[in-house]
Amino acid sequence: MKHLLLITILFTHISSLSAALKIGDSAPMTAYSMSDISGKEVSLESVAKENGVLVIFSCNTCPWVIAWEDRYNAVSETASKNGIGTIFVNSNSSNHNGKDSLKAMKAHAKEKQYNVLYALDTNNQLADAFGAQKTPDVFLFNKDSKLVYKGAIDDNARKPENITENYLINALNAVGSGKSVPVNTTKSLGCGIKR
Amino acid sequence: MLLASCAKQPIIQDIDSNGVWNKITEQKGEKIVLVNFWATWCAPCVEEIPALLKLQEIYKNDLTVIFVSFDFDRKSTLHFVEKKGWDMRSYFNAESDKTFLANMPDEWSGAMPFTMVYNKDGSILEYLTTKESYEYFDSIIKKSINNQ
Repeated sequence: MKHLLLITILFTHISSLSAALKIGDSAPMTAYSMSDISGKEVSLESVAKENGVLVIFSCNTCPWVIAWEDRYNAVSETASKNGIGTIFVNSNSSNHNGKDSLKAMKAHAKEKQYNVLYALDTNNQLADAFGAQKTPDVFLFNKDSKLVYKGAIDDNARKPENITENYLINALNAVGSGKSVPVNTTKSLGCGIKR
Repeated sequence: MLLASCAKQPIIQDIDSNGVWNKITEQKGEKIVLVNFWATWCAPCVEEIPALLKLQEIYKNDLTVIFVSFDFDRKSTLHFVEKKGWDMRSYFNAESDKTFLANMPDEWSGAMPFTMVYNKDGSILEYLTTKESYEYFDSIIKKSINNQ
């Protein structure tokens, strides 16, 4: 009986894991429709521009999001200049009836003066398809919908004045100018997505 | 000075990534080592800590639990632990996030909580990328003890 319990616990653990997208993988669920804070329905397909699409998993409450979100508008503007569409996605399903509801997302975006699309991922379907694990978590796809960068926004969430490597801005500029992304995978601390 | 506090006072001490590896190495051949990365603002982290404190007590002869906090300031960690009433010793990351993460296993994306569990012989038992239950932690500790 004890062995059965152990096997059940182990199986439950293993089956809850999902693989993260790898560099070169195609964007999944591109037609999947999500509600944006503007009231419109959006998808990766509808957001993508001629050179690709940038997806950032975010939320309203994570201190790492709070630390980085002063750079969200600049990231979106750089993406746009490079012919890349941007969408921020909230996949914190277990908070979607509370701190991460669409209403709370609208209020948060207004307070922080977001100038970006910010959509709700019902039942964290998109996060699961991406294998996204935290907020913020960045995925950049090129014009062929292939993943060319994943990871962090830059190398210093807490002190923007001390940034030494602007990973995402560099990746956006590279994609926009048809060059390969100099650093295609980075890591950063973040809050686990509340599935 | 902080470390000289009585047993029921929470203890928060600075550490860097090398310090974590040294702590793991020190226990090789002696105890299973469970390293838990957490923060006061991380709800799932906070939810699993009581289970880890309980297991630390139950398996005190076989298990060392090392907590490392990634809060933005040490005082808030200390106040949080005091408020919770936890009999807890936690380290506090005093290194840049970038350097600390670079010195950790690839299995850690940076999402919290993250837990690494090492067998007594120093080999890895499990990397845990999400919050786990008391029953799950208990099952893998038992497995490690029985396999030694």
